[in-house]
Amino acid sequence: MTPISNRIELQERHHQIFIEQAPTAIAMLDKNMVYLAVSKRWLKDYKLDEQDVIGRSHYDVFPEIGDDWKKNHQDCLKGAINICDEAPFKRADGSIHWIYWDVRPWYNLDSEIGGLLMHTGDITEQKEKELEKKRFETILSDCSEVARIGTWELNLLNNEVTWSDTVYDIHEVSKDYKPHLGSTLEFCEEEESRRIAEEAIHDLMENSREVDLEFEIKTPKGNIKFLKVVGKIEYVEGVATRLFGIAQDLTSTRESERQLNKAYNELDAIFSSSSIAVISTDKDGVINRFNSGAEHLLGYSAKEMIGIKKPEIYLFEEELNVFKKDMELEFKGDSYDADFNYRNEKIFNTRQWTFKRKDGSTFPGLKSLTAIQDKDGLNDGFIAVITDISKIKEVKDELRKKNELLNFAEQITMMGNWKWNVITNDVKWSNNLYSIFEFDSEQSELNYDTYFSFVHPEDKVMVSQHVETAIKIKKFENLVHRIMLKDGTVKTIKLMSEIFTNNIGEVIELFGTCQDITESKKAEDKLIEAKQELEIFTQKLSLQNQQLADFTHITSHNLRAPVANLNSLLEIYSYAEDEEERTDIFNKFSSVIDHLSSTLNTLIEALKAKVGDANEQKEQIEFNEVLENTVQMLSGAILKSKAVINSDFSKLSSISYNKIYMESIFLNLIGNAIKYSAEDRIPHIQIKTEVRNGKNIITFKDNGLGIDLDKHGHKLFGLNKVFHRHPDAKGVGLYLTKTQIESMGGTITATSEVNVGTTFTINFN
Amino acid sequence: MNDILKTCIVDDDSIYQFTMVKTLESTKLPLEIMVFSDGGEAIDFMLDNLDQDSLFPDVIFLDIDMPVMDGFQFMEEYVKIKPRVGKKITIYMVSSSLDPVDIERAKKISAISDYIVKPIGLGRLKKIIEGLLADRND
Repeated sequence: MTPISNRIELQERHHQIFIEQAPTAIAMLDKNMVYLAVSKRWLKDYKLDEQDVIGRSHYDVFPEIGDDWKKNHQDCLKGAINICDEAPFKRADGSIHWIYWDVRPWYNLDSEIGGLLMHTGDITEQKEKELEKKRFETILSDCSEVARIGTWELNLLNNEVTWSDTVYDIHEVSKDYKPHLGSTLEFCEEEESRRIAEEAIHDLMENSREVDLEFEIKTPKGNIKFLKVVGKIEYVEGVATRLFGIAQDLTSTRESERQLNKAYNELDAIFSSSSIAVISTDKDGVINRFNSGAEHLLGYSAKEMIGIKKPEIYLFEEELNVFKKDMELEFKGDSYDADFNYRNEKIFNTRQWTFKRKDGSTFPGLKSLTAIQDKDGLNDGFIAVITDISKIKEVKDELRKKNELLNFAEQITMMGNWKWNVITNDVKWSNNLYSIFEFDSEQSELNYDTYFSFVHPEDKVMVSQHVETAIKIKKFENLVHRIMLKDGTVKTIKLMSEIFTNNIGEVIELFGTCQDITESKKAEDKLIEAKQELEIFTQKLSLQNQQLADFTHITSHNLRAPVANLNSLLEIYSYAEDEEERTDIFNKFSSVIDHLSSTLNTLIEALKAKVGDANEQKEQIEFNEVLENTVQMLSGAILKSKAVINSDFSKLSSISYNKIYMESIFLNLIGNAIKYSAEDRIPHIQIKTEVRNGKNIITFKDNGLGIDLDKHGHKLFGLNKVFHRHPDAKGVGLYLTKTQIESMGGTITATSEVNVGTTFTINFN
Repeated sequence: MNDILKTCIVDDDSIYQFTMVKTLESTKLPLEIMVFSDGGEAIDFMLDNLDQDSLFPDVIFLDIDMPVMDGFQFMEEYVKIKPRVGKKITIYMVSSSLDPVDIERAKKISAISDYIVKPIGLGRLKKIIEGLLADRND
């Protein structure tokens, strides 16, 4: 060996040692990719033995190396350098190694490329840790999003606050929002929450207390949210530097919790109810739930039922059989499935059952039965919810009875009831109303026009106006009108109604009765007729009584007076002292007797009028003729007084009457008017006939002295009543006039004013 | 004291007036007779002489049935002026009427001493006048 070759040999030896003992994986290959040297680390990293490597081709050692890498190697042998920080390297055994590498050529003394230097590192462990961390972070972020958990941080050195995206989301603010220490308070609206947040901030700042609180916020969008905020303090060399933690949106959790609670409470209330029985059975039909309601309703205790008895104990076999049959019909249908068992069907059935209590008594109940199925669709028992409906049944029975009574009452009273929905024009009649109207209930739908079509043609206007008014004033006055049935029968009915309005005062419904009062109306008419007859009769009777009283009065005054005078004269006569006196007295006798006989004559006239048949001597009398005759008879007095008589008989020129009476009436009234005329004026007499309300009337109006009727009215028409100190006043004329008029069925009245005049009004009928 | 009894007849019946005057005169008692034909005339006389009621009658025989103002209407007017009359006046209502209505009505008026049915008769009249004279002398 030459020294140079020795030196080179030594140098290569050193290189070899350097490579062999380098702490990282290094390999030195020649231009043919044959290993010249490798570090121990290389062998360890790639799990190789030295004798397996040196002198062998790299591609023989790593047969998995593909063409791409072979090309890279060729590039490097031409001078390229290939460096990679990390890359997965799939080994022939299938495992993945994460490696970095540095492949570059080495140069010999002649600066020619002698081969490649490969430097690699296995970073699989490091890489896996990194990947795991990344995975954790992803999971955490996913969780945070799902759980609505955000993170936040408060730098206690400069009070700067940072929020994660989720925290922004929870507060429903944009990313532009700059959070700060007091931000939380900005969102706290509810008083208690504000107090909690303020306290927590205070505790944190003053006492460095960590944060753990739940409170309510209101977002700028107006949504109320419930937050949980937890924070921890980070200390650096004993100084609190950072507060960081999470903020969780508990709103939906809270809401679900609340609803769940509510549902639970409701369910609990139902199950604990003492009026609703809840009983469930297992797949063998044995009772496994029996609540207090069931105990209460059935009289058994839960202890003696649960796990021991079956529902058959409180049910009746017949009803159970009917139920089973019904269920088979419903679910089995026409199929002949031999394995069919209704228990395995999705039964949900509500019906009335009869329940037997422990003491043997029974009650009607409404039972809702629901089948419970296991995951294979087979029966796992039933749940039954039972309510006692005996009260409802009682009320229903009572109602039915009342309804029957009402129907009965309607039949007896010939009454029906009806209901008219004004809005929909929907009308309902009671059975008896159909009977009253003799109308077939099946015939057609009812509305207002159905009723109106029955209204008697002559009453239609009246009825429709009445209904219109009633709706307008919201009050229905009782109405009696006639109806005409299809066969022409006329009935009288009485309609009574209540009017119902809605909350804004609009009429929505009329409800009322309709009574057939035809018979009672007839009876009423008869009664009225009888009453009228009675009244007329009474009137006649009282007239006769009056006349009788008149006669009493007349005999008392007008006949007794002359008789008394005669007695007195006789007495004086008996002790008259001389003949002259006796003659004088005797003259008085004849005067009294004249007066007496004149009075008697008048009375006889009057009596004739009262009891006579003046009505039978009626003839058609022209008022003009009567007036002419009267004027002739009174011509002397008329001439003397210059009286003016006007007459107007245009409205009624003649009348059927007793002629003598009519002439007497004219003579008396015109005569009186002249006799009692005022001295300072010419008498004016106006005579006028007219027909007032179907009554024939004649008036005699004068401008004479007049009579104070307040004082003398009661005796104006009395016999021998005089009101003036007039020499001709005898008090006979008006008495006779009145007697004659009344005997013909008429009346006479007077109005008068002293010194203005008097008007006599005769009503002939 | 004046012993003469002022006697007043109010009646429209001239025959009655005549017989009353005659009968009173026949009693020969100390009387002064005045006659009015109806209530109106009588009340007018009293109203005209309210300040000297010595002229007023001591006794009045008042008819019921009279024109213008009858006996009852007279009583209504008289009751009005009675408080202003210092003199005691005895009033008899006289009528031919036996009508109980009239009698009842007359008896209800306290100012009327009695109701007398015509004819009065000398005996009864004399007793009344004597009684009134005796009262006065007591």
